[in-house]
Amino acid sequence: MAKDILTKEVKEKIKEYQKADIVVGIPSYNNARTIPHVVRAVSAGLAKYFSKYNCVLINSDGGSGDGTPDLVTETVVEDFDTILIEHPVYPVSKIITPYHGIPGKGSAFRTIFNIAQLLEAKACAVVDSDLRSISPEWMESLLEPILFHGFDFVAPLYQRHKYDGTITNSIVYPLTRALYGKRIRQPIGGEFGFSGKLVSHFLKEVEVYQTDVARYGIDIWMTTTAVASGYNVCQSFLGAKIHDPKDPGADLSAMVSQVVGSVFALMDTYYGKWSETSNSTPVAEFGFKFEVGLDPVRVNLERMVENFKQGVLNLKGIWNKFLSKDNLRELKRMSSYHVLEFRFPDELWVKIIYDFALAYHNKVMSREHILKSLTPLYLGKTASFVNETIESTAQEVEDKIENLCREFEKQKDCLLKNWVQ
Amino acid sequence: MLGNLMIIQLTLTSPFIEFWDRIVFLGPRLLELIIIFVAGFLVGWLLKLLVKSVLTAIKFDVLCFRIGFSAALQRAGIIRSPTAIIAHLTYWLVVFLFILAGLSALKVAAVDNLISSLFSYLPHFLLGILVFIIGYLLAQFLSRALLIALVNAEVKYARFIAAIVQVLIIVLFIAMGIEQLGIARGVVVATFSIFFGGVILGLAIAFGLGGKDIAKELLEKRLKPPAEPKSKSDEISHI
Repeated sequence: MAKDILTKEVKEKIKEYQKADIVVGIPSYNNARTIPHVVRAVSAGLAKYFSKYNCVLINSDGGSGDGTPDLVTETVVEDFDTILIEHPVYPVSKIITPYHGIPGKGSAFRTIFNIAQLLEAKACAVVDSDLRSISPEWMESLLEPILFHGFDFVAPLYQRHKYDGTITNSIVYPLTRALYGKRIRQPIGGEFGFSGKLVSHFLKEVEVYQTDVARYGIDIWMTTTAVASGYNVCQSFLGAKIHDPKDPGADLSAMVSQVVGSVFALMDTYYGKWSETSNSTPVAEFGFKFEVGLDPVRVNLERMVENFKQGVLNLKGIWNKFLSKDNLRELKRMSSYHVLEFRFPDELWVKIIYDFALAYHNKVMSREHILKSLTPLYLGKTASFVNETIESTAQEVEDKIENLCREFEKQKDCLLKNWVQ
Repeated sequence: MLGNLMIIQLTLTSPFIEFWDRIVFLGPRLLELIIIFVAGFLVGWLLKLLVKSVLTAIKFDVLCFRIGFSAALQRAGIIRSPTAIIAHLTYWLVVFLFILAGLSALKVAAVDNLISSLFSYLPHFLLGILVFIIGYLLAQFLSRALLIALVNAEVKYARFIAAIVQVLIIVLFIAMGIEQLGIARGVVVATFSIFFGGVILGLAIAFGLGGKDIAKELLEKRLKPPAEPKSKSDEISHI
């Protein structure tokens, strides 16, 4: 089954390499602008920190039209002296292949997992192809906890702009932390390290690759699977995360619905685990933390609030099937706020997210409709977050997110009470 | 004299004889009719119970709630659950069919003709009802999907557009249903064609006149190379 999605050329390469200690996967789609830097950083990192290991770099491409795979083939590290390597180094082995299945990051990862399993890799890492801030040290941070410290899953820790990763900050991090009790700050970070054992686990569940997990849902699925299945989990500090701006045409609603839908679907799968979990605990951390200067991020608050107001005006007929009357009344009241006064209280936000989770679980209507109707509320919460943190330092923003996490943990009992298995 | 007496006797008794013959002819059939009626009520009652338990087992009410059918019933002032409604419909359909079967036992030509035309119309009637139900559900689903997509795409008058689409789909299916029922086919087709064509033409003209700038912008976006992002756009990375 595993071999079925691999091309003949890939199978031949696997035969040629036979085994690998380390596999690093880079999913890509039209990333010609950034992928040479990512390949150079990965190659240098492997040469610098894992020169004694057999390493294979895999590029799993979604049919780029800008020559991304060719650039991966051509890119090499020309001067190892500049990264202070004195031991002999050899060019990293590469496998460059298109992936099959639903177009998306998850399908690209599936191909990487399959190759890693066939190469019997001890440790794997995946990094996004649009990164501008990746350095060779990221390889050390993602792979060392697996190879030398007995961990199975390494999540990333970054310095990010306060307005970066808002789905993570307002929904995914607080919700997964409240559910599974592990404080993994970037559960959908995009860069992960994991053991060969966990790769086999990821490949056991064939059906999930036909769902949103094949798209934006892959990151949260990997993190949740690792945590809920009892694997040893840690996080590593990688520094700043700066990546190419996302395609402005990318549908935010699809992004929100795929990520949140995956979290909700996993709540059904791992009910036994999260229903038994109370409170949360920190996970082991690696890496030396430091402050980074980050480019300012432009935000169109007016548009976000306008979208929220339009949602309240038009979608209340849908929301009243699963949101309480009090919450709906509160949303209606909020829609009269002026842009700069706009606030979305944490307590109400958590109630709403839990009500959406229950509606998804109980299938009160088409699940896609439930998830897609969340977008205006998410934009409202994001606008409120921007308003509340406009003058805040990074630490103050973290404190604010911490308060939201506590609210999610506080209201979890109410979620459990209403959850009918 | 004797002959006259016989004629009188015959004249007096023949209606009674005829009446008796009719009773002899109809009696067993009436009995048959009553038995079939009773059997109809019994079978209907049993089927009603069966349908009720099957629908309860497959959580039919929950399904109807999800697809918005329960809400539609509530809006129409029907407080019974969809399961109860289907069970009742089954009961009365079975009773109705048994009544028809019972009446045919009377062997009356007019009744026979009526029954045979009712039986040949029944599939059309059921299909017509099915078309109405499917149309209603499809209209609900599609208009909801459209409403959410329009709101997320920040389109103004989202609810109005979604409502128009819902009405158009319902009208389309009503026309299909009435066509199936065979009611004034020519009138329905003509009315529907005029109505639907008129609405589409009206919308096309309205879009052409009112939205020519938007259409121009859309075409420019498609055909021209992408311009630099507007200063008002966000740079937030949501993931």
